[in-house]
Amino acid sequence: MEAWEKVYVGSESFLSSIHNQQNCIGCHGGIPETDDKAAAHQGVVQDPTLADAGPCATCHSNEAQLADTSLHYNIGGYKTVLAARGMDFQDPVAQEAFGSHCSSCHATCGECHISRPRSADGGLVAGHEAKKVASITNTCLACHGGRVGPEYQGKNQGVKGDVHWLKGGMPCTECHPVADFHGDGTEYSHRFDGPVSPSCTGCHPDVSGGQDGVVQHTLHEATVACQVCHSAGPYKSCFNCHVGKDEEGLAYFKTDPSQMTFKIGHNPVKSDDRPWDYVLVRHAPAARDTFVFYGENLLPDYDNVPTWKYAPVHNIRRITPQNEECNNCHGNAALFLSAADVPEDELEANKDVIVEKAPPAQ
Amino acid sequence: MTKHLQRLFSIGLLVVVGSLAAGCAGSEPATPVPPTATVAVQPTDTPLPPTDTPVPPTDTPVPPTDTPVPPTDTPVPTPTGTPLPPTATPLPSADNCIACHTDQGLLVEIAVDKTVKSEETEGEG
Repeated sequence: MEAWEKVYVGSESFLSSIHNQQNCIGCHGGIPETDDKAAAHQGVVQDPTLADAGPCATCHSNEAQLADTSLHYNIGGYKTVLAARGMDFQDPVAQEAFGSHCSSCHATCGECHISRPRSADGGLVAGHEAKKVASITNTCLACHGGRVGPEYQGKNQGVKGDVHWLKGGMPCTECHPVADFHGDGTEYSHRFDGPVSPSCTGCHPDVSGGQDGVVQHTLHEATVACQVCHSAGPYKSCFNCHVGKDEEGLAYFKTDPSQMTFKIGHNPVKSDDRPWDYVLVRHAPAARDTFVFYGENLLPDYDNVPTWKYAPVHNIRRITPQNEECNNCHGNAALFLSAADVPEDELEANKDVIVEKAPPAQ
Repeated sequence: MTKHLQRLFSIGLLVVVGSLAAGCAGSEPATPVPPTATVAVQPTDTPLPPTDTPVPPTDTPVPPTDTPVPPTDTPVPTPTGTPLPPTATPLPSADNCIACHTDQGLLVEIAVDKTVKSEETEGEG
């Protein structure tokens, strides 16, 4: 977005709406009755919804209270994984590293309903209009546009997109309920904690118990995640992310080029809600020395969490290469995450995910 | 003349006699009619004394099972919380903000993107 566009309040409907009742200064601060740009902007808060939902909480008190349990808002998933890898959040060095590179992914009310997220450089989306439903492009894919977006929209070269998008035209919010964004009052440690949301069987209930007459559903329902058979093909994995600050003190990250992978692994998040033995996995960008710029060994228990993580891949099709024939998976070792796919330094972290032997051919 | 006097005398006499007769009849006291005794009619059936403890109503009133439906014409507020409280002090005018931030041409001239990214960033975020 151009600089002017980011701050252009071009929505007449916003100006006459209840969301302008407090007026600009009531929400953002600043100095009235001056035409001097610098003077007028003294004390201006760019995102007044950053802390405790800000002015939104006055009317939307329920959502504001739930926000504390929203993983989008509290970035609890990051904290859980980094803590499991041994990050000491009491350590000022770790705090600086986390604050510089992780907390920018914290999503506020305004970053979903009014502007683009800060992590995607911000900017008013629709002339400051308060959008009831966030924009898939400017909001969801602003953050999830590296891996999930291209999968879903079919932008990974040579791999078909998701039928729910290409045929159904379904935006993210069609499947993901509002609680996935606002929280539901329960403290989840990460996004795969608690009931599956959304679940395939929520819309396709006849898959359960073989009601649809598909024998493969009966055979695999309890042991294989839906995506394993219904992912259209390879999807992105990321590697070797390192973060730091440049000479001007600006935060940066560097990652190796992403790779298109398709790997079936043992389920690293197995639970009553996710009972499957086999799931698709993708490599997370983290590395053992991701934070080495800030200090040595900030993730001393790095091996506690697999680097190949459960991936509910978003390129779902009914017919896929792997589900056309039983032996496209059975006996096909290339589809399974093996020790040969994992660098020696990561074998320990992924020992529970690696599939030592593919299920035999039928 | 004598005949005339006699006629007057006769008429007078008749008047006197008539008056006397009428006056005596009007002054005669009426024989008092003894008052008819008011006899209270006793109920033929003596009411039975209550034999049992009073029976409570057989149907206990059922409390309403549903929350009363509010009048349908009451507007349903979309916000989930309390409406904005009246501000204690009037908000300062934001006319200067509006004047600038709604002027696309002016913003094109003076807006500065404060988003600064490190040139060292590489790869997909």
